[in-house]
Amino acid sequence: MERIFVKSQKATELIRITDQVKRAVEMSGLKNGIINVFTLHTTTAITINENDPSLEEDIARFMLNVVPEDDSYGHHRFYRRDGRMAVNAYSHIRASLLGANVTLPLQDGKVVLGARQNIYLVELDGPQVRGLTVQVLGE
Amino acid sequence: MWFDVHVHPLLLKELTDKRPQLLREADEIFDLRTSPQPLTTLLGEMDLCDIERAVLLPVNCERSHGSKLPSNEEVAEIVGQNKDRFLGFASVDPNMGEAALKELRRSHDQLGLRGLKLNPALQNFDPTSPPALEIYAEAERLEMPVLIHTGMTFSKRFSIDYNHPLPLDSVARKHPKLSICLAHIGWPWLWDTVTVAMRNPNVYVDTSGTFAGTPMENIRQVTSVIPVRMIENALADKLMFGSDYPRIEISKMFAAISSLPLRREALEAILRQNALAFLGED
Repeated sequence: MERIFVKSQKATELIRITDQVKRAVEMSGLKNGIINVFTLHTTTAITINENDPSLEEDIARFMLNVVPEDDSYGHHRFYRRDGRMAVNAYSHIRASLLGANVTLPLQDGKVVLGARQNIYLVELDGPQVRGLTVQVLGE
Repeated sequence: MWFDVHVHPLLLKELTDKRPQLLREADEIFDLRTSPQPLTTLLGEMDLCDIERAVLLPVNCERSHGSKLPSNEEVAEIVGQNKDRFLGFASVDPNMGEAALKELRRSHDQLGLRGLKLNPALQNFDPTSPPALEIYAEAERLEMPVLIHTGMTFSKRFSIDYNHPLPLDSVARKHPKLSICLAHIGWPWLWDTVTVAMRNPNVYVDTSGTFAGTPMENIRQVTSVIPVRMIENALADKLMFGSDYPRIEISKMFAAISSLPLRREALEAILRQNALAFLGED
């Protein structure tokens, strides 16, 4: 299993990670099997979509619209686990809507993706440095 | 373009990697348990809302808790690497007497730190005691503004009495050339804080604090007590933007303060000019 780190720049954004995933898969040395890309955070998500910058912004904007920030969330209280106010319920909810991982095929040492498919880390509470795992099962 | 006068650098990854015990001390003393993030995350937060410079605040808890959160040297080191983005304050413990005075002078003369951060309840000192008055006098002589934690703290080791803003009125009157910031608007003693600020030209107030909820909920609660109209009339030259990062993300606090229905010039003063005046840069 490989770990990769991504630094986001905005509060909400889609970050292309396909090249980093491919490099991590190469490190595994495996040729055929399946690949799992998993985020280690509850306010990020992993998704696959077309690498059109406008679409990336559309998806980010949709997430902002579909889960409002200013609402009466139960999570928004003093959170002793962190020693601070929890203020990001909307980020957690957006992350749950998109999911924490994707699984892709590996064939002849190559990550199988459609011509327009890219793997994205979806930052939903940035900017932060985020950690992901890439795990390959196969031979 | 804007200023944030209240940033705590104690959980910067650059510091916790070098001194891992900071993690435990931030937890046990400062009640903060978030994951360390690199300096680039802090700079990214600042960039998101056009914060040009931020004031980095340590708290010297050496006598009260056996720790510096972080040390004056560590603050100076971070500032030294990012002089165009940060101003560093020093922290000393007034009850350490001559050693505290010496450290304040050293921080000013040798480390280039520009102000003084105090947290009376956390540091367990009476802010009107003779040793504290000596520190204020020295800060005044060195032209170092003082930012003092006022109001709520979750740390229960020492009494919260020392965090009440009202006794600082006598300090402000005794040291009229000393710029004093009452942090966190003294929450929940809001009117006491406003009273001290209105009476004393040298007293400022910062917006940091999320004791009443999210930044947006907190500012709504504050303005339900102190009307926005009064902020414009009586505090527009007093209030300074402070986030309290990493207790809250700068961008979230900025969004809340920016949403206040204030006249443009009042909002700009809160976001910049008042900090410049407090820091002696106007």
